[in-house]
Amino acid sequence: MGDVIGAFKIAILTYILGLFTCGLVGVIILIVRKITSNREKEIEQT
Amino acid sequence: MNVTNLWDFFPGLYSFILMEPANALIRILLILIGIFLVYMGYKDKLDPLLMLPMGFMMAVVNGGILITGGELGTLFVDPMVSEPGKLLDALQINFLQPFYNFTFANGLIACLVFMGIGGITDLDFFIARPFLNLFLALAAELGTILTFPLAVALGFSFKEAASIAIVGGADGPMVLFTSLMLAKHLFVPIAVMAYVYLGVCYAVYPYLIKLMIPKRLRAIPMDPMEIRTVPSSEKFAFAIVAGVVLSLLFPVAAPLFACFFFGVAVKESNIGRFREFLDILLSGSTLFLGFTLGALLSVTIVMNPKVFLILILGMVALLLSGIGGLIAGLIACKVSGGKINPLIGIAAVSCVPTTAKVAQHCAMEVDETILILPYAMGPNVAGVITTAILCGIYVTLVPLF
Repeated sequence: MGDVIGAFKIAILTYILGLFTCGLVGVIILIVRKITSNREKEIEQT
Repeated sequence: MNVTNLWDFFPGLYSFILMEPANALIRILLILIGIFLVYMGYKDKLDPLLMLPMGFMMAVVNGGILITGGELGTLFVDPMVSEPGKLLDALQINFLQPFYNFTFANGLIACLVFMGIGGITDLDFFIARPFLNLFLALAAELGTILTFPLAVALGFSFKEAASIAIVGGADGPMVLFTSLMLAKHLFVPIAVMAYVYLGVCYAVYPYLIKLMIPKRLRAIPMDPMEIRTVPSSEKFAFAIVAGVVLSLLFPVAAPLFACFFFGVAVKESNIGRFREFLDILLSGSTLFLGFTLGALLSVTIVMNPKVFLILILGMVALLLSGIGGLIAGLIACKVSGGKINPLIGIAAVSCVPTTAKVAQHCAMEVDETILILPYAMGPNVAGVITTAILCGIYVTLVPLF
């Protein structure tokens, strides 16, 4: 029984870490989008 | 000439007599299943790229059992051999042994397949709506999360349970990688079950969809022209940054991240020779993957008492992930005011591009003019990335407990 509770804890921890990492991936996409669109605007202006 | 000498001419047939009757029956059954898989692949009912080599080798290896070194075995591969002297003998005798030891046992084949997948993955639809796609993909990992404690409750260790649970992510290379890292002794049944079930997704998920999604919601149209065009530079930059950051966070799974995002980077940098090579690499790796997995399905190897439980848990994991994806699809549909077709939720169960095709197929059953495939590819690719992330977390976290 203790093992199963421990496994639940690991599963929840895994999901929380997964949530955090996926959020980070989303943020990376937004930052990359911002930088590349700024670069393209600069190129268009020049 | 006595009878025994006559049998010596046909050691394959003679091995049937030497076996326990139950094992001999299972051996015949495995030959028949192998032929059935070849047929299903040939008819395009299951993925032919994998089923053809795997089914063929499964049938052949169970036919080719003979006595080697006083025991029943084959001249194909022995995955259990580890003692250096015996391994050296096996490398010189079994024709697939070098391939198994130098590409399977170290996870190289999973990385090569993943690099090839990266080379054909289009990130457009994923990057266009990243948070929606990641939300769907995380929900579609329900099986990966819940199967873990379920497997522990059924008597598996944490490492074994994590290797089985990752089947819920429906991504072959990740299943190979996790089981090789955490539970090498269960690698064969887990990997084979995962690849067979990925083919089954195509057949089972439509029924799950019909059970959970009302017909009127399946018919919600989505205009592909509304998807933002993502410049190649953005996709390339994302691949490089994501590859580095995820490797930094989960060094144990860094080979997987490196290979996938390098494949994406090659595609987006449009280096013709590299792209051609990645195409060939994916085809070659998939062929040898199926070939070797089939050869591992000899009756002498699969007779593991845990196999039956693994079969059930794998199916539970995939069903739970499908249910999670569809629930998230329904939530997205509700929140968007009915603008999102909930079917794209099933595509979040990775398995590129099978589940996205299932979503499109089920939508077309209601309305033949509907095109949701481009939208379904977004969560589909997000599913690959989230499964790789969860694989990285399991491989890192589980050995600590």
